[in-house]
Amino acid sequence: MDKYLRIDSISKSFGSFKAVDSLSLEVPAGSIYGILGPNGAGKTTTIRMILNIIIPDSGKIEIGGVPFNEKLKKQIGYLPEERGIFKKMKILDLLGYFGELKGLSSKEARRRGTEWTERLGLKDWLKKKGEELSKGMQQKVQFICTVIHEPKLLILDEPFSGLDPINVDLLKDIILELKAKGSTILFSTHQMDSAEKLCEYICLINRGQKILDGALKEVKRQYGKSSLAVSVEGDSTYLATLPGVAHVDDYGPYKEVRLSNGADPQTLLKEISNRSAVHRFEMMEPSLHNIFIEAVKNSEAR
Amino acid sequence: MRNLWVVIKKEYLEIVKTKGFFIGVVLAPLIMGAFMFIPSLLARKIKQEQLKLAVVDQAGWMYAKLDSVLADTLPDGKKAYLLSSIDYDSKTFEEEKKRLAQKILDGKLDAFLVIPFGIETGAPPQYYSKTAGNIIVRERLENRISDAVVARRLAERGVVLADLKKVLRGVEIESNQVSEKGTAKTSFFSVFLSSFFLVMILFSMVLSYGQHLARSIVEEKNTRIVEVLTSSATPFQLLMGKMLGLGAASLSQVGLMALLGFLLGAPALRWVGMENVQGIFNSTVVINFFVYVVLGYFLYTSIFAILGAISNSDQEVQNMTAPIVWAMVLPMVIGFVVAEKSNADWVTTLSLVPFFTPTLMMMRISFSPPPWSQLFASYAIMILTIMAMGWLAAKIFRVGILMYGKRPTLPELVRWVRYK
Repeated sequence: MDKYLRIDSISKSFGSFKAVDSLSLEVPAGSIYGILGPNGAGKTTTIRMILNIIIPDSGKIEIGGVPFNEKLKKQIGYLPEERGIFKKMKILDLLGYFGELKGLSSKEARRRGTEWTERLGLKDWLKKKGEELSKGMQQKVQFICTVIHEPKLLILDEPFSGLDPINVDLLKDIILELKAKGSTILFSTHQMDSAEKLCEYICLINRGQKILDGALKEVKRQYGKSSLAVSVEGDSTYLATLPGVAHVDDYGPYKEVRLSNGADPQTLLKEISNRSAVHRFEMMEPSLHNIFIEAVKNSEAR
Repeated sequence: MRNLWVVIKKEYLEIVKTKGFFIGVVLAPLIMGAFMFIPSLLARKIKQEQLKLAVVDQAGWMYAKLDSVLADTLPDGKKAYLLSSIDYDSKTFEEEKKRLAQKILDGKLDAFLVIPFGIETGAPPQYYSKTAGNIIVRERLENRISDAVVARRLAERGVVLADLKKVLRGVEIESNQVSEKGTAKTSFFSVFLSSFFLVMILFSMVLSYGQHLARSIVEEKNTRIVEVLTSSATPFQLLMGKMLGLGAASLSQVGLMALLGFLLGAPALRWVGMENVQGIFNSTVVINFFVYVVLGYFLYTSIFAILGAISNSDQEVQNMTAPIVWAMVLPMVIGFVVAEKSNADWVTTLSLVPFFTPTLMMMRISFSPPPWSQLFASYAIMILTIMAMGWLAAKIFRVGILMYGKRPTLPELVRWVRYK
């Protein structure tokens, strides 16, 4: 598949701190790509370098086959992690301003802005000032600013943080819709469940370095069906002490049990059924959450 | 280019659409005018009420004189001073004083005056009223009583007061300002006031728009809007858009003020009795005023842009504004000296220092227009400085708007400027 965004071993240091360390990744055109990583892994720095807000110390970045240039800005929509809109500006004026900066005519920007506010349930707020809106509403307004010019490349830094589940779903629908229209979407997050539901491709970074990347399906296949969903009657704390168990995650109704290399699930099943009644015992793909934790631990042990 | 225009438009409309803009057009000159003209205006308005004055004339001859010399009338034709004579009796005098005081408290009387024995030899008259210090009334009474006492002393020596006044009449110098356009009668005081008025407007324009610029940069930094903006336009476009947009807004404001002044200035000045000020606002003054508003605006806003880019809060901007205010206020502090020696070498030199130029040159132009060669030199120096400051501001702005947290040290700033 065509690669829309190509990052070739970029590095960036702030003083003696290496924020990003020879990172390479390729984002296929028309895909949803997640940059995952713990806090301080270098996600935002990477995004800022893609946007040419900060310049890499070394390495190069190509968007649509060309190095960054001013014309590209019209094709990109960017939602920064920390949110804010002009306090004293009316919402319609604000949408018009950002739309115009992205190359729309004033009239067109206002028309589209009005449409979007209808869709996101903000229509009554068009004539209100930024400071009169709640935080969630401001976030939605900012999201409209990001997509108003139907960008080819959408870069979202932690787009879901601080939103309620209804609005998270609303945003997800819009993101999927933009993908269907041909946009390439790159977003960063440390919320694994939203990444798991949306991303076709992921790149996991920690301490500025790439740990793993590729299609989500591939990544999961690599990690194999080495996880079990287990639910038992009564106390289940003993699970972690059983032989062949590497790690247990408690999801409430069930536990995700990671097997150590070469352990036999059938042996484990017998062991468990000896101790308590088994409600659920199911082979499953590891969750992204577990892949994340394991990969981060491995990379730090190295 | 289009982005630059979009930013200019937004910044301009944002200011011009506010109520504050129009209030500023009317209010700023009004307040400044008020500061200068109201004291004299008030002084004239205050005495326009009738004063009910009782006089206890111990000397015996004063009341008759007072009645004839205090014959001023109010605009409505009533007498300004309504005098009544109280007979003096040494036995009942203290009680009489209490009675008069009570009348004042009851509002039946405004004041009473006791003319003492021996007023001819220097005994002071006593004035009793609720407000101890009505300057105008006191001055009036003092003058009239003095005149009466002097006239009496002179009469004892066989001299008529009116004759003596003719003999002693002083000489007053009338000032005439010489310029290419001929000569015009001026008064030092009105020239000083009007130049001060222009300088104050210039000063408040530059300061308020400069601070607005710095604050709006800080807001965009704090809300991270600047990241979205730089992903749409270049930092240079953003900075220039802001400076030009706000500059256009400030010029509109000054322009509207000038229009207002042109339409209403003459009647307003006549109303406060300062028609002679009008001639001071000649074309040289007006043209240079606009030139220096523009140049001063760009010089100082490039500094405010740097302030905004390196600050994280309005508070920080506020703290660093002080030195800028000093640079602009200094010429006003030395204003009187400049007024007297507006062509001294050191004044010329100081007025060519770009940071002092707008205010100092405006004062010089009002008092005695400097040669055009000096004016053009000042334009050139300011434009060069503006270009240098603008370059510096653009460099620092580009880096500063994306830096949060600690304010940069000087070595860090130097490094920012050097970034490619």
